[in-house]
Amino acid sequence: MNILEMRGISKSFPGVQALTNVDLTIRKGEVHGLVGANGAGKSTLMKILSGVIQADSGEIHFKGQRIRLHSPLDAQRAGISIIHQELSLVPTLSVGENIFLGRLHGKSYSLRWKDVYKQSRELLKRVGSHVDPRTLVRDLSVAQMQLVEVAKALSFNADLIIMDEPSAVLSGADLAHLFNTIKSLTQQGITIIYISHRLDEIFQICNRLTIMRDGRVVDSKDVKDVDRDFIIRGIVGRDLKDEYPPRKPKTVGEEILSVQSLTIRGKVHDVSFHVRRGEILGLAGLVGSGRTEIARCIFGADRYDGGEIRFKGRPAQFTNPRKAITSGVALVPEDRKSQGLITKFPVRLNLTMAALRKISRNGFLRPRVEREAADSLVKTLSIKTPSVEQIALNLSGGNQQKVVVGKCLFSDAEVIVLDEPTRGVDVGAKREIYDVIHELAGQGKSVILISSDWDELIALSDRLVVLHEGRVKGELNGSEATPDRILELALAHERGE
Amino acid sequence: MSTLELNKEAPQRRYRNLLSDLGPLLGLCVLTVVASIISPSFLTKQNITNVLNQVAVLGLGALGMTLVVISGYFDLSVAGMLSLANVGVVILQTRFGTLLAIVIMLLIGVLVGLVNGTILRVVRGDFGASIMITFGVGTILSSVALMSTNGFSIHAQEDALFSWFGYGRVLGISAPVVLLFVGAVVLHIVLRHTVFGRAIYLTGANFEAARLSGIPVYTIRMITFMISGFMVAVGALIESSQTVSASPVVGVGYELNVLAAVAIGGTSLMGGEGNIIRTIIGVLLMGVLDNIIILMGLTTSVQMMAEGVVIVAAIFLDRLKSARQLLGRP
Repeated sequence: MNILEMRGISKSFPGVQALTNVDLTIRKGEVHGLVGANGAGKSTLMKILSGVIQADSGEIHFKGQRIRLHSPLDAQRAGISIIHQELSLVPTLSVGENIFLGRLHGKSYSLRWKDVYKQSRELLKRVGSHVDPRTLVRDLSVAQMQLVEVAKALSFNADLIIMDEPSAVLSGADLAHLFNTIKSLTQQGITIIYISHRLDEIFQICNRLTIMRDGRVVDSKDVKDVDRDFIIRGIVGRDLKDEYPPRKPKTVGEEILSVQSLTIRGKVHDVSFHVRRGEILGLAGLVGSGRTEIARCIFGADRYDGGEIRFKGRPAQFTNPRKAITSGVALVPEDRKSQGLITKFPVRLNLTMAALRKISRNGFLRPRVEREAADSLVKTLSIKTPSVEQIALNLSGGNQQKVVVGKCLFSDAEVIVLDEPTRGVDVGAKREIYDVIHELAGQGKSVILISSDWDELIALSDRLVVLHEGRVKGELNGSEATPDRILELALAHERGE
Repeated sequence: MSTLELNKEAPQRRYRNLLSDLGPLLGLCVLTVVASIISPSFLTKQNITNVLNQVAVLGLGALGMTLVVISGYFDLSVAGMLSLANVGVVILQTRFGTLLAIVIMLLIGVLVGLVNGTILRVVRGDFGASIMITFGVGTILSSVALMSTNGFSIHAQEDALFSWFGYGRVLGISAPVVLLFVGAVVLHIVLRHTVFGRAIYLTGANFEAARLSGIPVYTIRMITFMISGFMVAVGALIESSQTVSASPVVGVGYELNVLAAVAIGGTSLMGGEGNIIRTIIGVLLMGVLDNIIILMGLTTSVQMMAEGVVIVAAIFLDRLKSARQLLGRP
């Protein structure tokens, strides 16, 4: 039985045809994967389905009835809930208050808190979460927050829950937990639309999938009838030979940067590792393993409590990012939009901002030098943009990320720390970023790579350092690593403790 | 780096930015036309000079404030700074002579900026902190100004140098106008053509991204405060020279007038964009408005109301436009 039929949905924005005659059919109780490159129209379609925006034309039939959605509230009333990638919880309120936000029990002047928390507890139980509903949301982990969002969706008696890239922030055990929750929800008769860039998950969790490209539906199929290549072909629109660049035998040089007994109180404990010239070092671990904190310390963005970071054999006194950059260490931060780029500024300004001295003389900017530098970076990294004057916001996720990498290149970095460089980037653009990373290592630069996508980490890294809860749990050679091995190492001593 | 240049390749945005650049200019033109219809004496050389002389003090403060605002902070200490420099130069004049008094006051202006910037660096202050810290520093300065004259206005000693700031002429143009013009040109060049200027925009547009790109964000903001303090000190010299006296309450309300001029010109109070030309337009707009009211023989209470209306209208229209931009974006 079909719970949802969207027929002939079209939507245009000024200058862009975002959706063209899209049909989407979802069966009751299934987990339906929705895949496609950035800009393929997945988000727009889901915004229409959740009442955030309205379609120009087309019909939505839900539970056998034609429905019209003029606002998110309409959608919630109909039984459609969406969990956005950027979670929409209020950090300073309790879990229970968040779940029933705006709908607390009782009268406005006398709330029945007992009911709020009792019902919250029941909802949380249904999603397999054991957090106390009186806990403040800001004290939860991202994974716990996800489950609170799901519980909130259930509180609306949702029949259909849309999950927009939940795995962008989860990995390993947290993700497995979410999958269990999804399975138990479907057993309760709830239907899930699952958006993801990670194909493994589609195979793992989804019954059917729909592939979108350029605002159209390419295909809808049972997952068991398709393979990885089929999906990639559908997303990219052409054959993508290999997802990852081939591993080339190479010679790595001498040690350039080392971290010795690094300690950040409460987060990182006695972490040591080193990276050599021309080497790609992967930092593997779950969210909360201290990966990002370590990266930021290396780069001088945050302070640490103990230990030492040595660069080119000498103690690195990177008390701020400026010193790290001038010494030759660069960071591609976790969140490119808020930390890597100035999205409202043109590509040119973004590319040159980490090395203004190279485009100036005696403190005065040299427009032509800057323009040429930006042009050549765009060419080297094959950044797809009409020109260097394009606003960075208008670029696709993958190309935005290349701009951030380009910024690091222009600062003449010798060690580049990449924190989640392919998060929210589609398959085609991912491969281009992988090629750039290989290219960097080929030029003798050292890369420290952080990723929640362990396949990607394994395929790219020459060596992996496995972190868990702020400790180094072991080291693996790139060629011998598998996700299982990483997990095994990460959790090795835990049972014993 | 005007927005026009930023957006060469995005015609829609360029069109919108053209509107936002031209809006205040259009307002200024309309106001000028209205003024010349209402009062035939408006377009006389004498009156135009008057308008320019009267906006010089406001304008100098607004120029410095433009840099502070683009970098993502506010400087509310300008009010106290104006009062202090105003009485300070007159008091110091008797002891050290005019020249040294002027130099000391200008240095104090820079020093106040240094203090503002240092405190905000130490507390890692955000935009909100800049409002409170500079307000506090400004209040202290006001109090020092009041204490040093026991709350009374004092008379200045006129000499050639002192009078020059209010009444001097360079190539037939009055000194306040020349000072305003020079300040505008210099700061325009700084913003548009120097690494420092670029860093101001980057800092204001995305503080964290700028910091992670190695921009010394707090130092940049500190220098904008120092420039702001200096500009206000120059403004104070003009003020005391024009009135041949000094009042310890001359700065009351000055900080908000300065901010209003910056905002009316179209510089975003959220930082990261704006330029000197916009500010000059905003300053002239306020100057012409005041002048009309005086020419019409209306009271200061009407003047206050008109200023209020213009400020609200300018920000309202600007917000309306950006709200539409946000909604129109896919």
